[in-house]
Amino acid sequence: MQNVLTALKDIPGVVGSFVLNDKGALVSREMPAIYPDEIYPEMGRRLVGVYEAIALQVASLGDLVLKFEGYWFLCRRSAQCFLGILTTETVNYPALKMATNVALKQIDEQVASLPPLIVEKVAVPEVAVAPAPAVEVKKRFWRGTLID
Amino acid sequence: MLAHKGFDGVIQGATLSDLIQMECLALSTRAVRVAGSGTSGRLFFTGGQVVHAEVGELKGEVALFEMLRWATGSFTIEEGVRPIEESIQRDWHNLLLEAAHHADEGTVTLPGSVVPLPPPKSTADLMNEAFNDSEVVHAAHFSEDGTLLASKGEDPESLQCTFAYVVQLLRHVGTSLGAENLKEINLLAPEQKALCLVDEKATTVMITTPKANFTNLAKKLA
Repeated sequence: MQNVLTALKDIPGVVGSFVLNDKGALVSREMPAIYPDEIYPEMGRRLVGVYEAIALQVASLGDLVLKFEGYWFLCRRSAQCFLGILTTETVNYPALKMATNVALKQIDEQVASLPPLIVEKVAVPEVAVAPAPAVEVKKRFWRGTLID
Repeated sequence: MLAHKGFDGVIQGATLSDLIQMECLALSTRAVRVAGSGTSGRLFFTGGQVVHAEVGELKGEVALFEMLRWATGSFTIEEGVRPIEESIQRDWHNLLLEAAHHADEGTVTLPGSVVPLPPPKSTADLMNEAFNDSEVVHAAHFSEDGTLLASKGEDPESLQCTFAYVVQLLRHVGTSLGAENLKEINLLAPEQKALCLVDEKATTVMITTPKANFTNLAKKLA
């Protein structure tokens, strides 16, 4: 799947891309290192929320294009996953659309073949787990010598 | 009194453009005083290029184009006169082509002149124009504080609620990606499309048929 995402960078203007499963959990990414893994759970939750809200009001949404100052974000939904692509605003959109048609088909096949456990394993947990309280460990001695 | 140096002439049957061409092709360095339309001006040539023009308060290309509008006039050639300043940089061919272009259009727009713009349309007019597009099925225009300002179709409140929520979520998505100032959202579904234009004060959303041209709709609201 990484290869599929890397291939999207053949289109000039593509900054990076990632795949979320239908629950919004991260499956794979090919994004610049400045984007930490922590951003994906929140982003996934929000994108799923957007798709659900639109489905209630309008119709089942396929593609979503967000135009920001200098950047575009394209999110495409398939039966199995969401494909998100961050681009500069100068990207050749028709070329990107075609490239993502191909990518989405390949990704869908791969996601469908993944066991659910693996998808969950790769995904970053949505809520950061609070560290467990420190347990006081008793020091153990044998004949006056610390053994731990 | 000093003797007048140079030639005097009356332009008849020829245009000022013809005179400029002659001077430029002859690689002249001199000034030509042109009188016409109740006023007069001067053209300066250096090495076969028009380098300066002045008519009253006007200088540079503006002055040149003003003189080129005059249908008739007379001229006086002043040999060896050089301009105090050089206000024109363009090649004389380009200048005459632009003058011819203005003449073909029947309207002369002088560079630097102020062209009165049509009065700006009100927001309501722009909304009406966009919302009345035959491809727009539902629409809502609402302020950032939640006031519904204009709408089309049934249940605009519901449309407003949905997109007020969607815009907030997507701004957060942008923030996560380091992208700020969400300006436009395009939603594409097989049966319908939606265009949502966002600015700091208001949001406009239009649910359309799949045939709608978003570029044209956005232009109507620009």
